[in-house]
Amino acid sequence: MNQEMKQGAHRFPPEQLMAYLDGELPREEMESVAAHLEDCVRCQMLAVEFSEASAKMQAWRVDAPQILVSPRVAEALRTSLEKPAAQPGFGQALLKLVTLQWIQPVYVRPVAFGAAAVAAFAVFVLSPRLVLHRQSIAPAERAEIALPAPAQMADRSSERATSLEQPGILYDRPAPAVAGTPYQPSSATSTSVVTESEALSSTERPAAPALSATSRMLVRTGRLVVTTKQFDQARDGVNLTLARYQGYFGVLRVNAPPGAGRILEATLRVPTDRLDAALADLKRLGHVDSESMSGDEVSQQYVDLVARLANARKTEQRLNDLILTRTGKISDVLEVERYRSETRGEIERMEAERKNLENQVQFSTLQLTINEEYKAALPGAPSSSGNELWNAAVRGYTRLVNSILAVSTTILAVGPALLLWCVVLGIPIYWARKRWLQGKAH
Amino acid sequence: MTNDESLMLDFKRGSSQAFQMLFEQYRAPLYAFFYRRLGSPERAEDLTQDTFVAVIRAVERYEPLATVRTYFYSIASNLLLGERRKQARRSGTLESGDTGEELPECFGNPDDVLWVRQALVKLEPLEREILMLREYEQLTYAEIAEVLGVPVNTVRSRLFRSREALKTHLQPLEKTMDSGHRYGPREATEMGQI
Repeated sequence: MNQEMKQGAHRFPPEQLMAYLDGELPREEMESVAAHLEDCVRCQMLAVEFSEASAKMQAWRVDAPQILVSPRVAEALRTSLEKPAAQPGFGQALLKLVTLQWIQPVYVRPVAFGAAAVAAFAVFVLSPRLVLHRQSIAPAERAEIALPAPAQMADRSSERATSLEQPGILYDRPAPAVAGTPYQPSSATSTSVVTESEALSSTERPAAPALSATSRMLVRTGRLVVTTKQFDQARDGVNLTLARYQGYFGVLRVNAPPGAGRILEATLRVPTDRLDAALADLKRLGHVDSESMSGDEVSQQYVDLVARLANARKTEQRLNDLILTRTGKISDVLEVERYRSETRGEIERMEAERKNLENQVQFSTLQLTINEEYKAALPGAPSSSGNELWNAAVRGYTRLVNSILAVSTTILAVGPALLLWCVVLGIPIYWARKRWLQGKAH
Repeated sequence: MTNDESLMLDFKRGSSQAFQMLFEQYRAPLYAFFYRRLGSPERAEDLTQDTFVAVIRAVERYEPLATVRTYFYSIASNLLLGERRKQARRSGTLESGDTGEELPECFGNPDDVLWVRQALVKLEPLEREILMLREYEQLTYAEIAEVLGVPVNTVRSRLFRSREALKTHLQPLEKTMDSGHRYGPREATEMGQI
């Protein structure tokens, strides 16, 4: 079947592969497509193409400015929150209250008598006084809780934007506590009594980056050490995981020391929102030896940086204005120019720092180490007898040839000299021996 | 129910802190949504604020039938459509059926971004919108279908077609870039009709 897939007989259309890469397939289909993708080279290439196109699109990033709540939004919010709360189930609650369903049956009769007595007392004795009292105090109360009119807010607000964290904008009406929400709803007392002066003071505050103060920017880093028997497949798996989650290699190093398994060391950069999913995939590449994650919050650092950047830009603008509009001594102008140049350098440095910080927040860093399980071979394994005989024959032949060569070269090298000495010494020896033998015969 | 839906329901019950958290969470994505489609930082910021105004005004009718993300982007899409119609009327080029769905003239972004925009502008409007909602707003197929009011299968098939077309449109540009010559914005404008 694998051969079929490699030859192009795909079980899954490219559209389904795309849906798989987008995480849009049901679980059972995900598994089958994933299995297919591991074997099919064409689909792997297609997946990489999809990922590359996505990565190219991600190059178009938008740096959102520090958007604060505009007076329009603040006004709409104020108007909305001034309306009576639409309590869910209020009708049912009222019905339950009226029909006394909240009282235990045993106590129904005494409670009903008591309630009737209190009601009669209220209706016939207190009611007229309460009405009179309410009429007398209502204007004062209304004055106390009155919020500034929209026109007043608009007139008095010199700032374009208004921070939501400013106290005057918290126009909460009593809201029931909701379990599981990460904030505490304001109490009725603290939120409904918002004086005009408080609201005004809130609008006069400078447009500080209050909203970003609560946003959390985390630089996440992790380390994963995996041991696997199938090193090559694991390496392909890393490539595939990066393609799937639109990550990239920061550093990739593969070592193959002699007598040991191969080691892949890589620094992966993965979009932070996909880090967990990518980590889960990478953990499936083999046996996890160690795993660690850490996160550094850089929200405050980022807010400080943005504020310093804004200040530096304002300073640069002022210096530009100064150069354009003022005249003075050459030395003063040069001094301003120098200061502007320094400010520009500082702005560029902070811009780079900001982009780097954003990159660190958007892309988490994962140090991945994949160790190959190494199975050492036994050294000096015995070879076959035939091979040994052959090797011996080769060695014998080699030695024979070598000895012949050695003798030949020796003869050639020493022969002439030896012959000469034989002639030189042999002739006297021969005559001497001949005379000695003649003398002995006589 | 996700945290966003809880926040929205809390806001419906009258909590401004819930609105504050929603505002903080969605202001940057909404700004990016408008900026990529209109190219004007001022209009993007204004429409982001308009989106929140619309959310505030409609909060009483909010029911957690879809995700808050879908809810916000649906409102944003409607505002964007209105803005494009307004722009077309101002320029006097609105014809019947023309919604003016063109990417902006100039963003002043680096060249790499220009190539992407140039490739995007060649796509059919619906396919481009689907692709952008998927890639930039990171919406799921179902959420895109909800925002645009089209079936999920249509989203899937159109998304595939748009990605294929985008690859094709990017390839000649890559070759141009690989050859060492990089066009400036003016040349690219003439070349790509952006």
